[in-house]
Amino acid sequence: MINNKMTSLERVFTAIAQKEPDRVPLFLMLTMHGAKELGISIKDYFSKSENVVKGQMILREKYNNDCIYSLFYAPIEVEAWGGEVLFADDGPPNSGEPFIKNIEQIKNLQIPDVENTSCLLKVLNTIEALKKNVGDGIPIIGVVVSPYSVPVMQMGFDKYLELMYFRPKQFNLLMKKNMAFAVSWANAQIKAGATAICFFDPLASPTIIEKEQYKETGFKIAKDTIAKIKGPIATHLASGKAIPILNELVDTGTMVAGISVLDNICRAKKVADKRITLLGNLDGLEMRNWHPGVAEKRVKEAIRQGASGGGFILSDNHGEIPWQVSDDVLLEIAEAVKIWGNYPLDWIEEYE
Amino acid sequence: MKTKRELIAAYKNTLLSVNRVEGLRLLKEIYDIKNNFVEVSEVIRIVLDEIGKEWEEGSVSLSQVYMSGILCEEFINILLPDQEIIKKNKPRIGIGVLLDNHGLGKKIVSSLVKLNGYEVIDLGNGLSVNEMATIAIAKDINVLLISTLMISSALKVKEVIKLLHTKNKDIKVIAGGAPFRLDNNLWKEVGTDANVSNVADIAKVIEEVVRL
Repeated sequence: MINNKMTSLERVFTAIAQKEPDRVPLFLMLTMHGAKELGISIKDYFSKSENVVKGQMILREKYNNDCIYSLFYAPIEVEAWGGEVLFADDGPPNSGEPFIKNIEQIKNLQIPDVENTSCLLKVLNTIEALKKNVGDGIPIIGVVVSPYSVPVMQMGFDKYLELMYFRPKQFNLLMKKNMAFAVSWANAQIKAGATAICFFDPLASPTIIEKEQYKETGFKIAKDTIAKIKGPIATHLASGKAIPILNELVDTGTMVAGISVLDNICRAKKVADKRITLLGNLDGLEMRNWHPGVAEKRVKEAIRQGASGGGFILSDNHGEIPWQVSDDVLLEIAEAVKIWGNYPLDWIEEYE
Repeated sequence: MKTKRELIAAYKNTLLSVNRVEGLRLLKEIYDIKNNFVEVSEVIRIVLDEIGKEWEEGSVSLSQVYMSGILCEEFINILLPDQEIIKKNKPRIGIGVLLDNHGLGKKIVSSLVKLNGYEVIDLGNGLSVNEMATIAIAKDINVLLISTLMISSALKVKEVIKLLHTKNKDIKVIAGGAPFRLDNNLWKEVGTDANVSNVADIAKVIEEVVRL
């Protein structure tokens, strides 16, 4: 029996309040799949706000998931800074050659003016239109790449690590500029109608940066940035492990933490201890090859491990579903949540 | 006086904490034991092997792996500027990033391969399928190391291999990057010649594939 007593917004915020809603919320983080629905290239799809609005509304109708995702592509921020974006036919747009080629450029970097940057205005127009369409019934999730993680695209991962470890003065200056941008960009999206902001921070994960280094750098940056954003935040580590820094994520002020396939949901729930909601952790890469029946099995297992007591939103583990994942798999995920995700989750006791 | 094992453990800790000053000091201490490069080279191999295993196990971070390689190369250049690492010029090894512009993985692997005495030819970043194959052939590469970031790029390794075969080129291909780390079967799916389960073993894997 499908339990549809709440709106998606009510469902999600009940879960975040660490209570059990009517059903486990499902966030299918779909971006490029809108291009498939419209039968156009990914590049064409993201060229116009109205395409993304149409795509997201079709996806919502098709999968009945509990969020609208207004992310175009992460390197849109690089585009705003004057960098290059490369489009592919079968994957997310990627950042091109880093535009910070030497660290002397950092002092002269101009922080993009959100109100006068066309690629960002496209996103804001999209959020406004989506808000008009859906009102307050479903959360619209905007995205900001954390000031600590975005330099991977701005200057290249290797140069950025060397900056972080060996050039603290220039590192701090870059962080200051990135923080100013991140706050203005996040708040512009909230003003346009985004319900919450997904704060992408892959470098926070100990998969990428060791915990002690993160505590001295990225943690402080995240905490300061999040404090200035005028809306709820979900932090995503884009497939990186989360459990080792879950306590630190709580302390940044974020309300939701994306967890990876590398994180055991039961253990994450224990560490979270009702202080933060978990988002995850279906394997987006593995989804490409799921035969019929596998999606339901994975959904059921994730719900069994994480959904009791609320504080859990089912999603993929990366924050963006790969292009290669078929509609059939996505439909099976959506159906499985309707079968196994209705509270109270009495079947869990029988299952065990 | 520290034992060799204690020195190795201490050196490893300096790398993991990115302590340039102490790392160089310790490596010099190790060099002074026998006054030859062989000892230093062996210690570096042992330490990077351990760090590589710990990365695969998830107990060290990607940044620690990268910075460890960078520091080791730096220390060798400082301590032994005139020392020629005996370069093995066969097989000819090329490395490139397919479609993406993120060169960290390429740098880590290059560093490890060089520290094992091989020359590595940098084919570039953001290479298309055609460019990767064409440049590898033009540079007479025997073993092609392909770095990828996104699953869409990783899947195109198959096309690179196909292109090399259509040009009758027997170039061994090994691919890596996040998609291959996260999906243990991806290497088979795209048809590469080997899987690298520990990045520190890259030189051994290269030696194995050329024997095939």
